[in-house]
Amino acid sequence: MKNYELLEHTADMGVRAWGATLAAVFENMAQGLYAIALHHPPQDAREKLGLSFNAENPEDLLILFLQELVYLLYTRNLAATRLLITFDSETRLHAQGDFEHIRPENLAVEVKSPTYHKLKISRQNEGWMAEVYFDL
Amino acid sequence: MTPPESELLEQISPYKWRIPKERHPKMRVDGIIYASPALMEDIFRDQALNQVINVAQLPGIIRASLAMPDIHWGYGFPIGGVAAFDMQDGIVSPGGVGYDINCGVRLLRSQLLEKDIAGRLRDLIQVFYHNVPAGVGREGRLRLKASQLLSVLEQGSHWAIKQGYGWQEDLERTEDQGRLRNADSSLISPRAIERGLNQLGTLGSGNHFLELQVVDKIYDSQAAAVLGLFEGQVTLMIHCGSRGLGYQVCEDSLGVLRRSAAKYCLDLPDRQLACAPIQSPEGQNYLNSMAAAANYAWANRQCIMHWVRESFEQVFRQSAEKLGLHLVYDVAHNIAKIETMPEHKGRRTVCVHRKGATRSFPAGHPEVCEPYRAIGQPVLIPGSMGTASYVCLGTEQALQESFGSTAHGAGRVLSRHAALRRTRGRSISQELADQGIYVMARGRGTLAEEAPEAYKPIDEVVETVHQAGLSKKVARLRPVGVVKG
Repeated sequence: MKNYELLEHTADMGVRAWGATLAAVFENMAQGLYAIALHHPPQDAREKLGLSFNAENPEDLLILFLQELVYLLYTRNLAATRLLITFDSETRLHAQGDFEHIRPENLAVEVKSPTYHKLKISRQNEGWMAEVYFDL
Repeated sequence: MTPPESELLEQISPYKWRIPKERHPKMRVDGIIYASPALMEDIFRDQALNQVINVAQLPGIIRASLAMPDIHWGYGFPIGGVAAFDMQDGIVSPGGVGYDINCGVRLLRSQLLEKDIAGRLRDLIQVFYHNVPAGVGREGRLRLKASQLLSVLEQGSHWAIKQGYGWQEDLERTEDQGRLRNADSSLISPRAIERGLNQLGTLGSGNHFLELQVVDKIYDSQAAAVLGLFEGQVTLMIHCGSRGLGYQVCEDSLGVLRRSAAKYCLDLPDRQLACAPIQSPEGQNYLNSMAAAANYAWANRQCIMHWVRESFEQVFRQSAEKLGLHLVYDVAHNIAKIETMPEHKGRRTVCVHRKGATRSFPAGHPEVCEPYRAIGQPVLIPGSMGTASYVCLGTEQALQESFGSTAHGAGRVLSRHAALRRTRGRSISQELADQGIYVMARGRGTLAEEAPEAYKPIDEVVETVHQAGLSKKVARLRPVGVVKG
């Protein structure tokens, strides 16, 4: 089973991610973001970071999580090679990540931000699915 | 439930279509779309008309939810969307401006003729490429402290001129003189400052560009003379915006305004249309932080233009003054502003959102700078890579019908992946070279993603706004060299 697929949009792109758990969907969504943003997936982790988020619902939590990854990527040149996500509840998550300092040449496009456009998180069969469109 | 789009529309003139407000129970005003029948076919394929309907549902919207012929699917508002809101009952929304606050275009003219650059085209483009940082992840040449960036946010182009990046005359030839006075830098988050700190004076990527052009057709010789344009003349166009700082201001504001929608009991059809009453603290804070990002964008284009002038000097070994490198005009095409509009026999102050739309004020309007007040505000409409761009003028009809607004560009029709598929196996740079256009791009996939066929035909877009009376053609500019991010 695929972890994610890229969705087309007139000017931008989206990601549809699947996972057995909500945490896996978030991790796979991050992979989808890097598939849009980078020529090559990050591999050589050098820095560990812990991230925590609170929100009113899982959708807001997903947007906050992706906003943080976009910020880290374009401001600190950091992309996660591995993320371990745990939920205290559906509105509170912690992410422990191994991050690579990526070279500017590896940046393929500039992602401005994840958007709420057609944002979706849903249970599917025995797992979860989420869709996010990114403004490029 | 929205009915199928073809059933929504009534054609009310050759270039104007209406979605009557009766077609949707929550629409407060009609939707009006300016498009030729051919462009309408592209518009149907997209879901942008639903976004015109969504905008028509926002509180305090005045007269109509408008769409320009380059409309395509955006976030919240469509790209190419225009809406004005009542100052007492209306809202302001970052979804009506977009992430790239004050993305815009400026045009520089010269005394050079096409024959003067014939043997130097490659040199010029290579020098631009070297002198103007472009491409994703590319840092700028300026090394600013956060405190200096706050001055940029407050002063816009004025900051750049004070630092020596340009001429005093550039200011009056820039929309709002390159500075929105309501900017409040104290509202800008540390994260936005961090994102913007090393990007001032950078072009960015995607559809942003520097383009060397030749004036190849004049439609209005009197107006062209006032603008200093003539056939065969070399011009240079710059298209870029507020970079990461603007994206972060939009993101920060959406977070605040999403909560304020509940606080003010606003029933919104799309979460990306998060908004607040204009007079509320949240609404005012958005307008004032957006203004700060808009000022950053003007300073950005001003610095880039300075390095373009230096690049000409380097190649031609003459001063920019001697080469006649004067700014024709600079327009914002992603912005929300408080403006005064004619209404019945009086006037009304409103908050106009232009998202992928250009201000188009007529001759005599007090907001049009003195050198152009007799002819109207210059409107710059860039084409896609390899196609023409246009210089037009604002009209009285635009002021009366579209809150003084017109189109902003070609408007995308193909997704990036579709463009990559369509151009697989082709060399876009060679195809452009065959048309006499020398192009340099930093990104590997940029040229294919930005291939001319990924966009609507610019001639059709400009003809539509010309025939609809929203702006009048003055000159067509043919590209001869392009720098892309």
